Amino acid sequence: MRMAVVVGLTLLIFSAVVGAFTYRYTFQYQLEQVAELQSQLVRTVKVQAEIAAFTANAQIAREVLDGLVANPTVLASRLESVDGFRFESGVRGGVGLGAARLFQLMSPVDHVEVIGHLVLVQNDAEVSRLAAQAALFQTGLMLVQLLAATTILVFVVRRMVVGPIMRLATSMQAIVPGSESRLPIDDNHATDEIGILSHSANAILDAAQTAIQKVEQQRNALEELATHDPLTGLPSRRLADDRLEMACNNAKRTQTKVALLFIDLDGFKAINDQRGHDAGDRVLIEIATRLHRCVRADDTVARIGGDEFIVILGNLPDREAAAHVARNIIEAVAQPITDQAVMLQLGASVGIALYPDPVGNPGEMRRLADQAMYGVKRSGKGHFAFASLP
Amino acid sequence: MTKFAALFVAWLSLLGVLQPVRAASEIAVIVHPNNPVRALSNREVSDLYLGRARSFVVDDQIILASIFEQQADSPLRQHFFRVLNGMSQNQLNAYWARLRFSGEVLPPVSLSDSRLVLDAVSRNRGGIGYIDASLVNNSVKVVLRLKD
Repeated sequence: MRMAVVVGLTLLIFSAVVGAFTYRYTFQYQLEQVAELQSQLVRTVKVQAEIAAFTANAQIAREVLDGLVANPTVLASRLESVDGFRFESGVRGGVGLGAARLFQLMSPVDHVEVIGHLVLVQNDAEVSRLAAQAALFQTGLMLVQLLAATTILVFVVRRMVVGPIMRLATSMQAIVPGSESRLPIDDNHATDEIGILSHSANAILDAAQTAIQKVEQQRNALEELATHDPLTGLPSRRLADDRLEMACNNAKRTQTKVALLFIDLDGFKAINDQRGHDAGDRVLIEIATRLHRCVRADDTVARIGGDEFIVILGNLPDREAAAHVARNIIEAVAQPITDQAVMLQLGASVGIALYPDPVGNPGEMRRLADQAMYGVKRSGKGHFAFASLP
Repeated sequence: MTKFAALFVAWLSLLGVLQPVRAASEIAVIVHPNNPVRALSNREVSDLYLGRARSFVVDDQIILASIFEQQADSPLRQHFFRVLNGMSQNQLNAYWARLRFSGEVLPPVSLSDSRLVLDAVSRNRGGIGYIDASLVNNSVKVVLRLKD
């Protein structure tokens, strides 16, 4: 809108200047044309006028002068010879009413001697009127042309530039950076400025998507690193704590139980010492896989230390369900592991803490399960025990 | 056709050759012996022959002029106007054509040869004419002699 006002105002000033110039120029030009016309008229009758003046012939003088005043731009004319011969035609006393022009008449004998002159009095009012008319017409025509050209220009610009830009802006607003969506480029604008603009915008969107995806990947990697054990891919202690909290909240709502199984591997230290850390790592990965097999999909298996694991079981109907899983785990771990053609034998000692009874606080569950597991270790390993409040 | 044109050109050139011979001779402007005019200038004669002046004015006496011309295409006439005021036959013809058209003025009367002019001037008190100077006798009075 502001652009239109500026353009309109500029155009108005421009039109005024050009219009004024055109009017002045055309008016002046018309005056010159009239003067030239009169000169031509006089040239045509000059020989006659000269003979009339030379011979003081009233008849020829009348014909000449009547011919001249027949022209609407001539008010009156007069023929005078140096001998005193004088003849007038046109408006009586017209001499003095308009701009007078004097043309010298030469002798028809030698064409050198001045024998008189012809005076032409211009009909100033008529000449001005004609000139103004012509100038007005010319100026009007010019302004109409200018207006038409501007209208066409505005229409074309709206059609070809403003419209597409507005459509572009609308579709650009709807696009979320980093998403797959891009600006549509229609065939009419494939190669023009609008098309170039759209391509550029799409290039920026491509770059934005790539950058955002990269940042997201890095963030995911960091998050994974912070919340998972890099060796086994199992959740870390912190994530396990969150899951426990969630499971307990859920149990409170559904009147079910949550069990936290604290698992410590028996015989792992010996394998690590005798066969090396790489073998130890392979064993841990195998154990993690076996633990997963013993639980439901939405249960959590986490690694919280060297050979210590936690299993969180939610939605349990009773204590026996937890005991059942514990037995399965002990049995699964006790299955021999073949590592590089060597049979390895491990065992598991498991301490179990139950929520909400006897442990009403999720924060206490791990410590109590840990204590129960120690009890198992001391009393001969390879089985499980429930934690009880002291 | 081309033969005719060539003949015409030859005739023209012959005219051109003859002219200097005629030009060598003198032309006398003559009036009636009783005309009080003693002498006329080129200008005065020219004005009379171009219809600008129609009478002789001497002191307060005005005598209407009877102007006698030679034949329109005669070499004498050509010579006369060339020396008198420099006008060619074409200029003269155009001049008279325009003037005659007004209906107010008639060109001077043309006579067929110099003897007739001499005779007319000698018998007409306001008469004026021009002839080869060698033909002048005392029946007329010479008021201007024209030489190249």
